[in-house]
Amino acid sequence: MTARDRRRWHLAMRWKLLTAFTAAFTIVFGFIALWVVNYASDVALSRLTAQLVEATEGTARDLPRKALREVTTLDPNSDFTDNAAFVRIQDDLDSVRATLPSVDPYTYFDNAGRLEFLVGTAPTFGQPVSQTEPAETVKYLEQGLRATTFQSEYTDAFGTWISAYSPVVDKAGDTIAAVGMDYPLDYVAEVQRQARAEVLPILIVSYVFLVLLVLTVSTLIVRPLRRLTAATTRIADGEYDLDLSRLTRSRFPDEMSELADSFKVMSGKVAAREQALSSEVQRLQIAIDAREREESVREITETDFFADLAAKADEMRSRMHKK
Amino acid sequence: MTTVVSVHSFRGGTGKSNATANVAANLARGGARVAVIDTDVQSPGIHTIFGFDASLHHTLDDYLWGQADIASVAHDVTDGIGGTGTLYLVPASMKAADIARILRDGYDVVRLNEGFRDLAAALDLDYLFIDTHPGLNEETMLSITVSDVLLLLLRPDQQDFQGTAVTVDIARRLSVPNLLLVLNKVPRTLDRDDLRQQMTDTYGTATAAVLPLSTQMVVNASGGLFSLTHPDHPWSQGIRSIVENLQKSGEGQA
Repeated sequence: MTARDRRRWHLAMRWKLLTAFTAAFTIVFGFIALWVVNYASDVALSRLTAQLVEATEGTARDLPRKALREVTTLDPNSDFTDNAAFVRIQDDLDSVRATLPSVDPYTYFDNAGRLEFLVGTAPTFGQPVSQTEPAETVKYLEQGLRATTFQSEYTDAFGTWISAYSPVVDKAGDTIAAVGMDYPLDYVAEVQRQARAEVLPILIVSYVFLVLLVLTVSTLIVRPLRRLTAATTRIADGEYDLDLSRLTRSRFPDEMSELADSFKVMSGKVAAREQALSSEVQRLQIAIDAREREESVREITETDFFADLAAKADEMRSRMHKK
Repeated sequence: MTTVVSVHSFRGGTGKSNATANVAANLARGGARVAVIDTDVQSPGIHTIFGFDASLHHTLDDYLWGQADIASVAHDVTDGIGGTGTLYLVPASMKAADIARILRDGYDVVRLNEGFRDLAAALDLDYLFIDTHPGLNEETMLSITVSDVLLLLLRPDQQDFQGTAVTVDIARRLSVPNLLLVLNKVPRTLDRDDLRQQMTDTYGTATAAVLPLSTQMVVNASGGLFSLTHPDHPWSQGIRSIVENLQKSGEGQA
């Protein structure tokens, strides 16, 4: 693999750190944000549920029995709106709406096996509930005649709701009718929207902070690494006299300054070893072939010229010095 | 009394001429009267160190042909050496025709020997250096025979070690009084002390100097006397130790 190939895959450490931290942060913070939003809406919902159930039960307890019984006997086709009992019940339901503005309270009863609406916000007096309500809701309504019943989040043609039902029982224990209350869940959606709106800027600010933090930290990590890399390149070129004081002389020594320290020690040792290696001597063995030596000498000394020369050598030499 | 020094090597390329010129120059600088004769008439070389070129007149060849007196072909090359001595050079001719004539006809070795003696006498020499042709032949053996000192140069390789062993044996048979070995062109990486010891063991004589192989020397080539221009260089220090060895052997003779 050449340096060029390596460079192709080269991604600066700060970008790697940034990517990793951002991914981790996104996962963690995503869960937290989701939890916060859900928690907020759960809390809101459970509070609403409690309120609704309490209001339904309270209304069922407080409604005047006599008036309610009378209302169940009214002919839906008559002019029942002027009936004093009807007005009395309607006033009571209006006072409930005055305290809980979003709530839609109404009454209904079992008319010989058929559930019919009584007094309510909507002009549905005498209408069988099955005419407007889905079978699921009808079941809850039936249950509501026997005991307080809560119908959790459901959706119909008019929106998403939670509902509570509670029977109105006379002194003898006979059920006269039941109170139902519907509560539109727009409020919970609103709570979730608000929670998200609160969380988003925090998320954005945190992201910016995270990016700055990672960039700063990675710069702190990468800068000495770059210096060391540059130093390595110079050592590779045989330049051992490096100034790593900016790395080693740290006010708060850490792993990086330890690395720089040992790096300096290493380059010093490498330099010393190279010095030693270059000055290290090799041994050259002088190998003389004795037989060849003898033979060569004999070849020369056997000649007449040499014999003559050897005989006259001393004389020739002494003659040299004669003037 | 003249100390006759034959400078020889078994093979060419040992740096013989260069060493000869430098040793001679150092002796002259020290106050001696010195002459160098280039008897390597077939392939002369020492003159370039003293700044002569092919156009040089009055050479050893002229003497060998009987056309000149030996003293008249000795060139005073003392200039620039410094000191109180004198240095002469008897160069061989660089002319192609002269070299061809030598190769074809040979020369009178007896006349050459007489030349040595006459030159020593005429110039009142303390040292006469005979720069010989590499390898053992009749001419070189004659030079070795008339010498008081045989300065043998070799490089650190097996061929030189072997050839030098033969030359040393021959020199002993010719009872040369003084034998000096000089190991030249020794790479920095070789153990010099070990080599010196091995040489003593192998040749039975001390090594006068172990000279390093120097890139600076190679760059300098044969241009000038390196030991004078670079006196502190290890090679120059080695040359001076050869000089000291020669001075000692001269005293011994006197």
